[in-house]
Amino acid sequence: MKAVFIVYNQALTERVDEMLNRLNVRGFTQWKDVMGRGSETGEPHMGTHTWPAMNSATMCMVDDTMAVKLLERVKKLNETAELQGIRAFVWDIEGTV
Amino acid sequence: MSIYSTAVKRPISTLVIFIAVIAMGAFSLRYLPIDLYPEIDPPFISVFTIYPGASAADIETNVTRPLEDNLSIVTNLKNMTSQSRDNISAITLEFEYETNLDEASNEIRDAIGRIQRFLPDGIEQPTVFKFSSAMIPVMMLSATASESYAALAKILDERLVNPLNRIEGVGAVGIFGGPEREVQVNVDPRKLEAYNLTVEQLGGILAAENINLPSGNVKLGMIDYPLRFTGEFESSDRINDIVIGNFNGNPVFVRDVAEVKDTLREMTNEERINSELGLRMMVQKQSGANTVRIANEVHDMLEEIRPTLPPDITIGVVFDTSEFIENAISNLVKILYFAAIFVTLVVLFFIGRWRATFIIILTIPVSLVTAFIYLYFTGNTLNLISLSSLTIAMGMVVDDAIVVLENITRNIEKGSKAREAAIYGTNEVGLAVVASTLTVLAVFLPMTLIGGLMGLFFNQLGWIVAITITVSTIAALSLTPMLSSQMLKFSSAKRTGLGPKTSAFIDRTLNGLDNFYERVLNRAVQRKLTVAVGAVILFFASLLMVIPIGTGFFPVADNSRISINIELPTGLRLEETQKTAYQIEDVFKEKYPEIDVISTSSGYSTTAGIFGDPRAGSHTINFTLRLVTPSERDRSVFDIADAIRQELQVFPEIVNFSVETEGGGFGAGAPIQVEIYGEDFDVTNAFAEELARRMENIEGTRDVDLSRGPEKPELRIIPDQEKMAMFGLNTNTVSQVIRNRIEGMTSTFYREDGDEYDVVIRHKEEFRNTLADIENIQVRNPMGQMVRLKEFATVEEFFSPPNIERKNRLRYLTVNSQLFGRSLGGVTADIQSAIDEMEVPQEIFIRFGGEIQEQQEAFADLALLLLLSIFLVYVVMASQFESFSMPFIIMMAVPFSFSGVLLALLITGAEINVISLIGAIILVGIVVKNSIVLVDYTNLLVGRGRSIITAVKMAGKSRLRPVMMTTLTTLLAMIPLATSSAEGSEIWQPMGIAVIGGLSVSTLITLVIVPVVYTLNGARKVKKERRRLRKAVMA
Repeated sequence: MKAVFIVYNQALTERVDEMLNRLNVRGFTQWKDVMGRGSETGEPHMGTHTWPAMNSATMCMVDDTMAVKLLERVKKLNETAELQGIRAFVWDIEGTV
Repeated sequence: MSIYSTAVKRPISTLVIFIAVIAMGAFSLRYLPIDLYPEIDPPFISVFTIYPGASAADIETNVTRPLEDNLSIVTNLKNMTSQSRDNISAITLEFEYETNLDEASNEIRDAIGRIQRFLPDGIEQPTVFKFSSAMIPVMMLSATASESYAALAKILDERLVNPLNRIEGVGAVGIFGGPEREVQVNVDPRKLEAYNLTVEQLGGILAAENINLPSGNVKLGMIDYPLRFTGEFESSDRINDIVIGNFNGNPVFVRDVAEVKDTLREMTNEERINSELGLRMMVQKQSGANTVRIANEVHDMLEEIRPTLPPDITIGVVFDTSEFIENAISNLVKILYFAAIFVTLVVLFFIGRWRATFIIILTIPVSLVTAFIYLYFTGNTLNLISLSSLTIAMGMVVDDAIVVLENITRNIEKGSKAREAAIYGTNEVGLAVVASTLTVLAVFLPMTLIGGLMGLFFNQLGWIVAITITVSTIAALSLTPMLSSQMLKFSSAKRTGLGPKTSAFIDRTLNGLDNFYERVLNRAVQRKLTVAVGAVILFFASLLMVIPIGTGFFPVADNSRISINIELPTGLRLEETQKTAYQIEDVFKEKYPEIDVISTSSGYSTTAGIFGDPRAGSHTINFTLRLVTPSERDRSVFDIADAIRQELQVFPEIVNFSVETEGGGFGAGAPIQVEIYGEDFDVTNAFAEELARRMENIEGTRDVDLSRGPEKPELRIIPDQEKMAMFGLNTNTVSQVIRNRIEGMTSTFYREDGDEYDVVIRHKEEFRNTLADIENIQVRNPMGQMVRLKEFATVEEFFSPPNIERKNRLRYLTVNSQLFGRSLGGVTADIQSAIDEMEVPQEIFIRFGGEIQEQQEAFADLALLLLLSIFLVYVVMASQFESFSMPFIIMMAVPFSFSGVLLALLITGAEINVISLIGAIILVGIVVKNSIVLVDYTNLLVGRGRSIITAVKMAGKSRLRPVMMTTLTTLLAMIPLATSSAEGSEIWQPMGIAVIGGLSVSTLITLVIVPVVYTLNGARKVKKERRRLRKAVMA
């Protein structure tokens, strides 16, 4: 089991939702209106007058093969709309109830 | 959930809601009445009291003064003027705006009720009208006829005047001229004396003979008959055969002593319409009633009544003030369409895409129709102010939609889908859009708070702009994202709407402009102090332009109407006056093809009553001319009026004349009125005449004249009381006897077909036209003896003032002048210096009335409003930017907009008047928007970590297009307003000129000075910060 944390410009919300549906990922946790700033490139998304954009974040627990597929899709999505900003991070799950 | 995501997710609801708004707007527009201005007629109530036989002086002492004393306590009274003239006392009460006239007229009736029993016995009940007799009538109608001429007045009075009076809002309908039928019994006094009879006896006999009387019932067989004695004359000829006495055993008939004529009453005036005999009717509206509605109803009623009149009667329209209003408004509506086209072109030019342009332009109808809904539900009218407010709003309502759409497009270009770009793109700029709307509201909402005359203008303007701008923001946050989500597609950044070649050209031009502006900014920022100081000097220098610019109150429009009053030597007979009138008519017909209708009125009307001109007499002529519409002639009404002035100078018999052109329906009377207060007629007359002489020499004055007419001669019969008493006579009897013989005695009525005609007995004309005839009048005393008038009285010639005017219970008169080719302000200043040179007697004081007074009050209101707007804009911005200095930087744009206004007025030769000042105040709201865009983006860049100088330059380069776009939309929307030459354009032109001048100059200067001041301020802040840090380190 892996945890995939996808954080993206909220303007991509629908596409991320669609991606999860296509891949049959049922379970997720989503945060709306979160702030963030890229480490190297990308505008800060702060929801302020200076930096008006905002992020959304989705975390899903999937098996290992799905995690790879998800990362591939996120990469593709990022390539079509590089200026919007989308990042995914994966880590191991050590146990569930 | 926010408004924009709801709108995007529920496109159908959004669409139908806005369609419903448009439908309601269209419905309201359909039922909106039209008028020239908002309801600006000052509330007037007039009180007329008729006291037959009293002279002007008697009326003043016995009627006007007591009434005035009681009326002066009525609440909300602003001014009270009165005019006492022969037989009539006319008091006009002017109220503060927003006074309820129904309550006021009740109070007036109460006041009259309290004083009435102290008034003389002979007066008729005072009548209260809700208008001022000084107002220009809504319409003047004419009627001409051939066979029916003799009955014209009667027919029209019954069939036309009465129905017209019933139209709601009509104050009164006056009828001038037109003969009246009367049965005259013209006695030969010598024959009457020979039979030892008097006029009074004759009258008594006629009245006694002309009777029908029910005489009870008679039962005959089965039927109960009512019995009736019928003695009434079946024809007027029968009067001849009435026996009035016996002489030597033979009966004396009426025909033996008099000539009975069934004829027309002797006329004191003659009305001609285009040289045909006829009569005139004036329709006067009540204060506050709608001119166009009344005129339309009058026209409808005329159409209805025309077929019922005898076929030879032609009813014509001498003038109709509603025509000008309708034309002016329809021209302004055309201008509104042009403005919409210009705005569309500007948006297309900058955006370059058809779909995006469509989405933006759609906010115009959506937000503008809400103005109609507002107007409809508040009972307002579609007028010059509401329509020009819409023109102003038009350029501003698209601004928010542009900002939102640009950001949505940017998001799409960054790779979002249209739907999401619409939601989140709007979210990003939503607050900024609302904030800029608040600034605009800060300028326009205070306008809804001011009172008085200016309040009536600005309330409407303020509400309309505030409402449409608010709705446009709502539309920008709902309709615009919804349509963008449906209509916009991802496309490359290339604009293709106008074809590739044009688009490329536009792009090149705009890029060139951007670069040029960057270079300018670069230099300006390097020499920031020089630029700042230069700008301050430039501003103060520009204020000097105010000196050569004239000032006025309201612009005057060419409404194709001229009114001419001519005075011939006092006391001239009507027949002689007519000759001159015909000659002048011929001159008009020959030399002035522009004249469409000439309505000539010679002499004075006895039936005019309250409409009567106090100075009219048998020696006066009044012309009302209607010209063809301005588009069909080369000369303006003002030039024609001045040419007529030259023409009239040639007639040696003309003592005095005035040629008046009226403004845009803004009250009657001369624009320049100098009020001279003082009790003594001789002193005030002398002073006024001297002032009038000096005023004639001032450039720009025309027809300088006194409101108090020249003293007119009258014959007075002065009885010797002792002798009269000796003969056993008293004043009452004698005065009655004389009146019956000269004026005539209405003894009875001749009835025919249900109508009554007066039977008037008096001396034949040849026996009442010399002084000897009057002196030989015989009066029978109680002892039965006949005494001649000359035995106890003398007839002498006197001079008396024809009218006595008072204002706020003080006697006064005005020296009036028309204006030609010069501004009101300039002429007023010259008159003031002329007065200063004169020696003003101690008991006299002088004030300026008329437009000058109104102008001063209005300008004071406007100045206050301007300060209030500037203050409120500052407050809104200070809170928006959380800074005291930012609003100052932004408002640097305001002073230069005034420089621009002055420059534009100077170049076009326009005046500073109420309308151009309205433009100047609106500018405050428009020009700060520009610098907000600039400063806001600079702040943003500084926030993103740029240095101040880089931020200023970058912001300038990137915000140049939005600034140009919003400026150009407003500017181009105003161009049709400023350049139109259609009927009525004189009125709105100053506003267009002022806004164009102010906005263009201010934008150009803002683009340089605002970044410069921003850097100056930034440098100061940085220094302060460093000092603080240094102190912190040292400590």
